[in-house]
Amino acid sequence: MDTPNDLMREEKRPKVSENHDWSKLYPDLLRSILESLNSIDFHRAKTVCSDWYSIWKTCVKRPLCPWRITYVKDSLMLLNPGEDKIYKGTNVGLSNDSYYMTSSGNWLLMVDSHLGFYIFNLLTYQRIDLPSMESSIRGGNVRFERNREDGFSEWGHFVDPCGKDYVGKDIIICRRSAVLWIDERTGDYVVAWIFNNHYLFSYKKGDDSWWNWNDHLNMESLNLSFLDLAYRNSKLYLYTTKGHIKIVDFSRNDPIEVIEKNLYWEHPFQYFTKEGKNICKTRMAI
Amino acid sequence: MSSNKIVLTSSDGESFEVEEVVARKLQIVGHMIEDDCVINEIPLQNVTGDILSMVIEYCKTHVDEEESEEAQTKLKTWDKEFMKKFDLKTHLKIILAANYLNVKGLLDLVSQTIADNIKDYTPEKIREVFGVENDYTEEEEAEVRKENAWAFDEADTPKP
Repeated sequence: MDTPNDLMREEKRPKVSENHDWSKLYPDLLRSILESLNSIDFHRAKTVCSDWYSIWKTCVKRPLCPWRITYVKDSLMLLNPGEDKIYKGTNVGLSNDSYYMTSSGNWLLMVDSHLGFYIFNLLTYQRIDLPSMESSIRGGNVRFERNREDGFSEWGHFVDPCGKDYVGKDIIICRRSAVLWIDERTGDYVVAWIFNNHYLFSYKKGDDSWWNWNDHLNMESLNLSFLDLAYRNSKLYLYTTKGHIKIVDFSRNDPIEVIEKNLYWEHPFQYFTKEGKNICKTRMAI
Repeated sequence: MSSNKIVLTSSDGESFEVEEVVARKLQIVGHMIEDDCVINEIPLQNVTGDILSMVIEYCKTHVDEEESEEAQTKLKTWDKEFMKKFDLKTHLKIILAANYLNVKGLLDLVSQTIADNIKDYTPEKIREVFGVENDYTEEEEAEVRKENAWAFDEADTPKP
């Protein structure tokens, strides 16, 4: 066993000079520093380098439990039941006035009152802004108009050929109708969300703009609505009010709906409790 | 006994005359005293004078640790102010010294201080201030990040 003293001897006590290499900080000392960090920073520290990681692994384990996301007034708070601590969203790097849509690992999909979507990594603080919903949307005859005045509860309007619809945070947030998928290794990501249970929008890394899907899906009726959505293995699964599951394939440059190979096409899921095979089960169960 | 003086000498030859009770706070010295191998002068090779003087200042303040809540609060405030005087580089020197001299209280204090200072740093920034190389390959780094991803739970939605 290495004790700090052994290491100290081995290393031939460096002269404490300005350019001392702190990467050689003794494991016991580094462990003691790491253990003093709060949860987010503690997890972030392991990504510094492999030495830190191996010491990190020897630290007292902290149970990982799901974090709660809550709002106090309009400010987003992250509550970690494991350490009984509340983090203010703005303190961990989220924009003020932005709202949680969904998450994938350490990434959060957020939207702000300017109809701007962004994804944010709590570990690295990396932030990726997606194109504004106000910019032109490919594929559909719809658009969003932002409210120019700040501090309005109404964010703006959604405009389709038939008319205008109010857009506010209640509409965007109250329904769990977004997915985020991200590959940590390649950095590829896909975001999709549903507005008013009916309009499907998606954005894939590298796209110039958002896509609207409604004119491109095989819709049996114009009134068809989506209840939930899920994403796995480059496919987006959409659960419709008719009990069908639609599939959109994102593996190619341009996403396309999967019809012939959609095993669920002829088999509507009317009894939600019996789902159990697919990823759909968790997210699509109602 | 309390009036017994001990001289501590740093690696760069600076000498500090302190009361024995203060010197005993440095457990490395405490053990020497218990082992009866103490003469009146103790050379401490692994710590320079500037850092040793800080450690002694800490030990002097903490020499009689009173139990009362008031005294504890006062000490805590002093600790905080004391740490504020130094930058990260000095904190790191102090932590090495506290470890070598075996001053438990100071070790805990300076660990917490460093932790408080590096919180909110990005991994890049931590590497920069600690002079650590990122030796992960992209794949490894992604794996480590993914390893224990959080789960999130939406507790409440904002009122419209």
